[in-house]
Amino acid sequence: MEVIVMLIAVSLVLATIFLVAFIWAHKSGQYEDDQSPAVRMLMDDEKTPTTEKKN
Amino acid sequence: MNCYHCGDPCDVPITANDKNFCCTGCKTVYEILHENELDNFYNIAAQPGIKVDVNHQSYYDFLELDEVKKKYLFFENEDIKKIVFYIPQIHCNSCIWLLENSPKLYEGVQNAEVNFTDKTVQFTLGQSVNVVDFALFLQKLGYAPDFSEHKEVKSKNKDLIIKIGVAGFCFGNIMLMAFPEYLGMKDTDSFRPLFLKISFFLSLPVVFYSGWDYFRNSYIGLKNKVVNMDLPIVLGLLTLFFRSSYELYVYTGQAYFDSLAGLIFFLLIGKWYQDKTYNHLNFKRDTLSFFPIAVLKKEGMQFIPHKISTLSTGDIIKIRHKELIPCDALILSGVPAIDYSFVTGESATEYPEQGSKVFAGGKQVGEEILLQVVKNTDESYLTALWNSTAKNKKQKENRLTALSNNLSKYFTLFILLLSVATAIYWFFVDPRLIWKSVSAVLIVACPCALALSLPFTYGNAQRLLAKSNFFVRKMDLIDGVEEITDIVFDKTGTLSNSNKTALTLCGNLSSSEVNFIYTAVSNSLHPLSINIKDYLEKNDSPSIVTLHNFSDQVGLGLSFEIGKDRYKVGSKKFTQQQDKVDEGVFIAKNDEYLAHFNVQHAYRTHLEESIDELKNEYEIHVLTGDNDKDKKLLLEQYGIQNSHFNQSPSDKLHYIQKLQSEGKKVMMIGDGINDSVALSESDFGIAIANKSHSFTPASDAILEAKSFHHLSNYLKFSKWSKSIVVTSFILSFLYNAIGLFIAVQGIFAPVFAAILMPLSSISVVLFTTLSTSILAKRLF
Repeated sequence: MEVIVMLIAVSLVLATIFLVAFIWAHKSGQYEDDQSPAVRMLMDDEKTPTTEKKN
Repeated sequence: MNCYHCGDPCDVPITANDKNFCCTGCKTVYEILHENELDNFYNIAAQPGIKVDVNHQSYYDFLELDEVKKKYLFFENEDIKKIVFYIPQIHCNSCIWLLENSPKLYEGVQNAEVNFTDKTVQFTLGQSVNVVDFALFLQKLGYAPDFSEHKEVKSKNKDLIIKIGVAGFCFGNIMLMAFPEYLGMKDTDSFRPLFLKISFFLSLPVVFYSGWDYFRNSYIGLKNKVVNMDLPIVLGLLTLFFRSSYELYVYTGQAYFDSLAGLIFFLLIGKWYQDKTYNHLNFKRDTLSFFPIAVLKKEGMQFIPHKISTLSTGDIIKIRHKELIPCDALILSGVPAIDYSFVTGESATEYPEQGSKVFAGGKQVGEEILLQVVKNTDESYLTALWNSTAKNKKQKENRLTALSNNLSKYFTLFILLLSVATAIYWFFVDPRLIWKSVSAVLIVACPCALALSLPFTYGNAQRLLAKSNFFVRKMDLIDGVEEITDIVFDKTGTLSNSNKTALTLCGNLSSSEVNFIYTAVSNSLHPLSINIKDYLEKNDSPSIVTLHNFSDQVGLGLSFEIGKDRYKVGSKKFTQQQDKVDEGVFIAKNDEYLAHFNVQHAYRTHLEESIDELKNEYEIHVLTGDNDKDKKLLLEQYGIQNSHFNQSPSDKLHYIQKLQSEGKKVMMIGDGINDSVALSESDFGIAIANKSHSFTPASDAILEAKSFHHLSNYLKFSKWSKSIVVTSFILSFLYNAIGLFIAVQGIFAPVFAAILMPLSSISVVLFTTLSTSILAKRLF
C-alpha cells in the first residue's frame, strides 16, 4: 500500500503541470478571442482564380 | 426580395450582375469586392454585408490630430505603422475574411488581423498609406471605424479565470484525498494524517488567493459600515478553515477542506457569470459622442481640424455636407439647409437666413457653410440638458447590490444570534459541544446558494434575452422591470420605421399629368423619386412621354415644361407651398398648387397587437417631435390616448419627470439623440436600433427593431425571472434551515457538509438556469 504515497505525488505533479499550462494559456491571451483564429485557419486554403496555373 | 449584400428587404431593387441591391451603397461595395475577386465574401455567410448608412458618414480628418493618434497608432517606424481600429460592425465570419483580405483591396496595407470578441482590427500599413483615406475607404465598405470614447472597463477582476482554475484544481485534488472518508474505508486510516496534510496545503491557495476578494470586500464593507453579502461568506470560510486546521492539529480526522474549496469554487463561478458583459455593445453614448470628434477651424487662410472641445467663442468653422454642427453658431456664408431631425425628431429641413443663428445638433445638407461659434459645445442646449440629469443616473446603478446587502444584513444578524443561542444552550447541557456546534452553525449558514441565485438567474435571463435581440446592459437592471407602470414611446424611428416610407397622393391629377410626373421621376435617382415611380406603377398604368426643358435640381426637385405649362415637383420651398402642413413631395403647375405626395414613415408591422398586449398592463404614452397630423391615427387605430406632439428634448424630459413625481416607474423607448436625455432619466431606457451595433444613445438596453413586437414578452420574461429569483431564495433558505437544524444539535459531520453544500449550490444553479431557459422557450 505504500506505493500510494508515490502515486499521489505523481498525480499532484501531473495536475500541477496542467494547472500551470492553463495559467500560461490564459495569460498569453489565448482565451481572449475564440472566433477569429478558428475561422482564419480555414481561410488560408481558399483558392482564388488568380493563383491557378494557366495551361 | 432581399438585398444580395446586406439582406434587407428591398421593394425597389437596384440590379447589377443579375443581383439585387437595396441601395447604391450596397451595390458599390459589391462592385469593389467583385473587381478585386473577393466574391468569396458572399459564400462564407449569406448576405453578410453591412448596409452603408448614408445618414451617418463621418469625416476622418481628426485622425491627423496628435491627441487622437495616440489612441490608435501603437507602433511606427520609417517603413510601416501599426494601427488598431475599433469597428463595431464586425459580426460574422465573412467580416473577418474580408477585413483580413484588405491587403488585396487597398494598396499599402500589409497585414490585417481581426479580434472578433473585441471588434478590433490591427492593420499594418506602409508609410505610403494615408490613414484618413483608409478610414474613409473602410467606411465606404460599411466598416466605419469608431473613435468615440466608450469602452466599458473590461472586467475588474482580470485574474478571475485563473482564480477559478486554481480553486478547481485544489477542489478536485482535495476531494480525491477525502474520498476514502466519504466511503468510510477503514483500511486507509493509516494514510489519513498524510491526506489531511496535503488537503491543508492545497486549501491555502484557495483561501488566500482565490478567495481573497471576499476578505477584502467584506473589510471594505465594514469600514464603510455596510454589511454586505461577502461578510457571512467570510465568516463561514474562516470558521471552516480554522476548525479544519484545528482538527488537523489535534488529529481527530474530521476536516472540511473539501467543502471549503468547493464553496469558493462555486462562488467564483457565480461571480464569473455575473461579470460577463456585452463588451462589443455600446450603452454609454452621451450626447457628445453624437458629434464629430473634430471640426475644420479657420487658422490664418487654412482650415485645419481641431478637437471640438478646444473651440471657443468667435472661432470660424467650416461645416461640410452631412456634417453635424457641433455648437451654437452664426451663419457667415454659404447656403444653409439645416436638418434638425437629430435634435427634434421632426424631419422638416430649415432654411435659415445668413447671419441668423443655428444650433448644435443640426446637420447641414448641401454645400459647405462657414459659421462663427457663439457658444462652446458644453454650453449648447442638448449637452446642458444632458448634464442636468446626471444625478439620476447614479441611482439606477447598483440596485441589486443594495437589495442583497439589505438581505445579508438581516441574515448575518440572525446567524450571529443563532450561534450565540446555540452556545448558551450547549453551555448548560454539554459544554464540550459548544465549539463544535457553534462552528457548525457558522459553516452551514454560509449563504453560498443564496449568493448564486441572483447571478445565475439574471445572468442566464440576460443571455437568453440577448439571443432574441434584446440586449440588457447590466443584468441587475432586469430586476427593475417588475416595477414599471408606464411606457413612453417616441414615435419617429420607434413606433414607425424610419427606413420605410408610406406615400399617399393627396389632390387630383389627370391621367396625362400622371404620365408627365411618371416620366420626370423616372429620370431622377432621388430615393423619393424612386418611391413615387413605384407608387404610380402600382396604382395607375403610366407611360413615358416627352418632356421639355427637364432639369433636376439636386436637393430641391424637378422641373419641366409641357406646352406652355411649367411643372415643378419637389420640396415645399421649391414649389413655394410653405403654408402646407404635410411633409412630402409637392407638385405645382405654373407655381399653383396641384397635388402632393404625403410622405410618412410607415408604422411598424404588428404594432397594433404589440400595443394591445402592453395596454393591459401598462399606461402607454407617446411623445414626438413631429406635428399632430397622426394624433387621430394613434387614437383610432392603436387606441393611444396619451399622445403629445411638438415635444422638444426638454419637454420629453419634463414629461418623464412629471410621471415619476406622481410615483410612477417609467420605461422610455426611443431611438435618437433627441430621446437620449429622456432615456437616461427614465427608470428603464430602451434604445431601438436596426442592428445592435448601430449608433444608439446611452440606454439601459438595446432592442433590435425587427424584434420590436416581442417587447411585451421580454417584459413578461423579466418579471418572471424575478419570481424565479425569489423561489430560489426560498430554496436556498430551506437548505440552510435543514443544515442549521442539524448544526444546533451538535451532530453535524464533515461528510454531511461535503454533500449538503455542493448539493445546495448545484441544485440552485440547475433550478435557475433550467427554469429561465424553459420560460424563454415558451415566450420567444
